[in-house]
Amino acid sequence: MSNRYLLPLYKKLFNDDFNYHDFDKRLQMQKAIYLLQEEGVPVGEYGFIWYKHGPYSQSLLDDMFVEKSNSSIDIQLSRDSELSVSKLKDAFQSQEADSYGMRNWTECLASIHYLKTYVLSSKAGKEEVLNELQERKPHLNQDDLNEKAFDYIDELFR
Amino acid sequence: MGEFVVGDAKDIEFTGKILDNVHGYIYYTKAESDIMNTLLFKRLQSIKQLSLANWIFPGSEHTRFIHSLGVMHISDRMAKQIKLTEGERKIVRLAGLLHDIGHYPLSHVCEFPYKKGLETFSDEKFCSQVNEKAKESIDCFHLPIEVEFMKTSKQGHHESVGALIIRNEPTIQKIIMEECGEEAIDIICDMITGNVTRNTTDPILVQILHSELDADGIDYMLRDAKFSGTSFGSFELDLLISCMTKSEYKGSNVLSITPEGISAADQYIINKFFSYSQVVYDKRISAVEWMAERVVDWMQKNDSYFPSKSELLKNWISIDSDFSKYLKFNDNYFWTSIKDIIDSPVKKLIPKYIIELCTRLLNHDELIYIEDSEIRIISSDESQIKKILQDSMIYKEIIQNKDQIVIHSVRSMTKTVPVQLYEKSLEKCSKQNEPDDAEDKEYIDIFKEERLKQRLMEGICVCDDGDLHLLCDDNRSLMQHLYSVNIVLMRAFKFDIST
Repeated sequence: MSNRYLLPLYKKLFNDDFNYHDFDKRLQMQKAIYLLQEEGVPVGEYGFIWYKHGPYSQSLLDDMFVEKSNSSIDIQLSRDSELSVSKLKDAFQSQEADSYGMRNWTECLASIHYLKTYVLSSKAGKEEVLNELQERKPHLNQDDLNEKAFDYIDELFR
Repeated sequence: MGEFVVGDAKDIEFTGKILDNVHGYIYYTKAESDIMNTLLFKRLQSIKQLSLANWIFPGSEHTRFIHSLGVMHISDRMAKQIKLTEGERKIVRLAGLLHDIGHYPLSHVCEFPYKKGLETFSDEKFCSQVNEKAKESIDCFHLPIEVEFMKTSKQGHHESVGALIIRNEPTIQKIIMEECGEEAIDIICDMITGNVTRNTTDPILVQILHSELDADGIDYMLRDAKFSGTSFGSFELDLLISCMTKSEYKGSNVLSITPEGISAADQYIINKFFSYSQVVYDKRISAVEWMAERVVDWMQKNDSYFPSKSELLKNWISIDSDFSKYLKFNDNYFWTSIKDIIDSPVKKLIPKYIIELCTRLLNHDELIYIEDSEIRIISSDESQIKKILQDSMIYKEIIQNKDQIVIHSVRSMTKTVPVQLYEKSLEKCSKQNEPDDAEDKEYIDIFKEERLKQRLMEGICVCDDGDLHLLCDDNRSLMQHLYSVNIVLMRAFKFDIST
């Protein structure tokens, strides 16, 4: 399969070109598409499951592979989708991303969303979600940034 | 295996019954009756199950309301068969009853644009752009092997809208909590959206509503056949249910059938395939639904007449909403909206193709089918299908025709493939991932196990002396030969907005 939206969306969100051979960029694409799909942007029908670095879709990786030698095209998004992309971009380009590094920051945001929405009870509060995150991902060990990420997710999906 | 303690263990006590054309009497409890009496549930009486199919099959007047009762009934029969507790049965019944509460006007017709966000086309080049898209999908024609199963519904999907309603509507929440306990809200929402990963939800409950063998499919097959007047939906229901059993795979419960149910399961899948090829993809129904989808897409993208996706989800169904707008969001809302478009004082600002489609819909005036243009292929051979499509006259003229549109549809017999083929596909994907270290390689194995488990949960699983495998891996099943069969259709219709 192929998905011609992947490259332009990556560019919009990260102000950078996608490179399939760069692990960090593949990871960032995974987390970005996961969050966009959760926001309701019709970017594909990927089935994400929990993996070493949080929500991960094999079909998405497949599509990245197919798209790796293509060049980015111009895409026309609907008003709704444009708004969702712009909100996610704000979260990605926040100052917390500089402190955590983009790879950790996107991983943190997407993982918090996944745990909160699909794994823990809907009654689970911030503390419970962040404890679960710490348990599963010891490398995401900056408490203040994890808390900020939780707040971003709360705001994005309110 | 995880312990799932759910629901109240009190006996299920029925307080009333409803006569249904498909299942006979359907019995309900006080809590179920309270839900049926909410306006949100009664709204389903104004949403036709088969959207516009009644134009062609006039008997198809049944609604999401009676289908929901049917799903509750079948879900409970399945729950009893696999020996769930009374508490679990109460949850299963309520989930079956509520599974369609988030449905859109005209069912899947209005849902489709919200889910897919179709491309917007310009007035001048409408037909060319529609046809270019069709050409692109033929040129890239591919029959992929599905590697991901048990996907949860995404925002905008009617199931996800339904879960949002349940989480935000206090009356329904109160009924569920009083009947089944606080945890039941999450479990019912997981059953509706297909989430098998929550710590507190037993995946077997999810499979009752979300798998190739789910109660939803069983009811709509029987119901759609009965009301449309075709026989394609019938199958050995009693045999199929009586062969259902609860099995276990790597610590998770899996809904499965005993070998005695294989022929009934085959019959069910084959007839579902026929039901799509003969009713859902009927050429006149396809054309009428395409017209309505286009109009809804334009309306929701412009947030006029129909709400945009964000307006619908954030304002119509929010926690602070009184649901007054959502309650009116039914089939009638669709027809009123297109009438309002025709009568609009700013009609000149509306694309001509939208006006044309609305006028036709209001006048029951279908697009005219171009005689003999239909290409109908049933095959497993990707290159053969592509060749037939590309050799056809409509494909050759697809770009030149400015006053015709081409509609292209595909449906597979089943999403599953034999395990060897599936594992090969998984390995191919894993290789692309180029694992960095030994830890990554170890994760690949864990990941593979999870995928194999979810494949068993979604497909029709046979349990034979403790061995679990899918129908397509069983040499007593027709699916061993038919799993890869697809129906591919392409038709051309006249659509001229130049005058």
